[in-house]
Amino acid sequence: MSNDIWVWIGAILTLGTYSVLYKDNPVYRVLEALFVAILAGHSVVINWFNFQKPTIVNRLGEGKELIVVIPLLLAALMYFRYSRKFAWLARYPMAFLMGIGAAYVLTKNLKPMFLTQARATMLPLWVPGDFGATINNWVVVLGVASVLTYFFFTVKKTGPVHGFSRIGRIYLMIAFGALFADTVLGRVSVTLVRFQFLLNDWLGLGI
Amino acid sequence: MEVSIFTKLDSLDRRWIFAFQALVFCIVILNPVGLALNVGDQVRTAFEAIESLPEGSIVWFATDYQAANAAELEPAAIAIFKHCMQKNLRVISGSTWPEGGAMMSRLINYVAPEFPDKEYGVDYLNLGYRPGGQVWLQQLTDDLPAAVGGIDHFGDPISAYPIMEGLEVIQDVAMIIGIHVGTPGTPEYIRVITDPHNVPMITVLPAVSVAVTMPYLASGQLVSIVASLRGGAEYELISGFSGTAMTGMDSQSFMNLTIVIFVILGNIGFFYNKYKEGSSGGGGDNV
Amino acid sequence: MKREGPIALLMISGVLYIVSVMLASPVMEPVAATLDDWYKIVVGFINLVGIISLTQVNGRAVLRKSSGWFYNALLIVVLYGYIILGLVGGVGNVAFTRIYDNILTPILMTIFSTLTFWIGSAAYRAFRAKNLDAAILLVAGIVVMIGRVTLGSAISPAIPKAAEWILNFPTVAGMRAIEMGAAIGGIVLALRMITGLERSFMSND
Repeated sequence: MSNDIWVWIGAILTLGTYSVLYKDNPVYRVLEALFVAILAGHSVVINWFNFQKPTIVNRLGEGKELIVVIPLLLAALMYFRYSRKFAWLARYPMAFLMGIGAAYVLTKNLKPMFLTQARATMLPLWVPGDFGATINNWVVVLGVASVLTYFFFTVKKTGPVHGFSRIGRIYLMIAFGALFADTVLGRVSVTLVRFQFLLNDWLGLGI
Repeated sequence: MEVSIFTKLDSLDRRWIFAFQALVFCIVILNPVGLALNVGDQVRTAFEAIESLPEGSIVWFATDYQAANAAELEPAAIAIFKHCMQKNLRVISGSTWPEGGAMMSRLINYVAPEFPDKEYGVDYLNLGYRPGGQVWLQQLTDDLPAAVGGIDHFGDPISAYPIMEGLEVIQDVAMIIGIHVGTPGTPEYIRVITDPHNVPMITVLPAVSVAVTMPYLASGQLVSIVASLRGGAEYELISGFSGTAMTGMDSQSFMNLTIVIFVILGNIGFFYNKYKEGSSGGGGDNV
Repeated sequence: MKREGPIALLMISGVLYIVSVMLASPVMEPVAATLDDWYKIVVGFINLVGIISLTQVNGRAVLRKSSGWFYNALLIVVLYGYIILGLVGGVGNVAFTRIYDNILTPILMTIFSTLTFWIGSAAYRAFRAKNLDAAILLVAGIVVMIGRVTLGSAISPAIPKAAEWILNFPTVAGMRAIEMGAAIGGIVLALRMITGLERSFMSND
């Protein structure tokens, strides 16, 4: 068994958190409160030291960048959301963020998210001397086209369009199967690390 | 009417299933069978890409994750970090996630003891978190020192650190290691930095993000994906920096197998019950 | 002012940003850089909204002595205690990092891992091949689940190859189409916002 107090604390916290699998209980509720509080508190402190303090002290104070006051005031308006009378003022910072966010989508998304993906789909449907590559290219081209058809809701899907969109649905099922498998794999990995911690680091078994 | 074993299992308290799983996990962790681990193409590509970087090149660690994901991502991140140190590369990290600075500190704590000759500010640096998501990433492409406010995670001025020499914009880095779990993450880096400025990126991802990120790999927008604990184990193997991930691969196999067996058993029961209902003339819902 | 003002700000900031990026002239480039800077400052300084809301919700429960109010009180005490500890001691403070690394991290990792057990239970009870679509999903899932661990190659080298093929071709095709659709959807939504047609962000004040 470990002699390290922090390993013991980690083990107790781990077992306490797992206790929810039996049923909801006071220990889990305490740990839940701790995790929400520490996570939220951590982000406040980090944001203060990494960003807010240098902005106020270095830029506004020492650098005399008075223009910084404008976004600071805009951010301050957000806190009016707690006033019944002036809650509408909080719409201004929100509107500004959404305006820039929309501009980012319009200026940055089209090429990497759509055009490059479309270009990567334009594969040769006949690769001389490589039957495997030919098949794989067909699989990708057919898949992208059929899934796009499946999501095309402005045309009534009858006849061949229905058949083609049905192929798209099969592709989606395969993709979701892979996604499901990856979810299992990921969660199992995290559980494995927690169990290794309990068995190896804490209890000293199997080392 | 006789009740089948599958029907009985269906009504079993789920806590018995939890207990059974926990028991299997304990058994497989304590009794590894030594299944062979092979290095896959993705990890080999990532390793070779880092191996090919000239000495002194800057590698940007985008630590965009939090403690919940550390177990899955840290083994790969640590092995890559160690590889960078071995190759005399400069590692600088920045994050769009508030916990990113703490995550980099954890990585440094794991890696630094193995490389006592490497120094903070000379060989590696933690710039910490800055708000703004992709807008901050855009600022990194315009003026990196200004975008981080001229300070590191601990509030010390970065101008005093030799590691910053020659780093004016993020385009100056030779490689980005994106340790990503969500938004902001890989797509934001692709949109703002790697695609418009041709900066190569390797992503270290949790397994759940792999399927949705595959199109970027297939389109050549990523160099490689090092996925989950398995990716970490493969990187530990290929780089020679053995760590915690390699020892768990056997257990992971059997833990996964347990879930597969549950799925198969559940389906056998489903079809058996359906068959019994059919043969006894019962109707019932078979949707 | 209550509705038109925010919409005007949204449109002006968005259009100004797009124009400055498109023109990329020495005159307009600083405009985009300034807007980026302002955006970051606004985001960086509105973070306390979450803390205030958290305090409000939990504080109300404590004042009303709702069931389990002790946990709400504990949350508030730990939240402000941890914030004070961090603000006084700094980011590198030993107690501050110890609490993060040795208390928060094990709890978070474990909460994250509890889903494995729920997946195990659901795997038995819910993941049924009730129709062709579900059967395809399950078969693909099982192949990838076994193929991506060391057991897969121990059983047969064909299993990891099959898993890799599923990920590299049909999955890429399916996910790529979703990605392309989402890209177009995002662009349409952004256009609606920037032209003032999308106003849902003002509806829940």
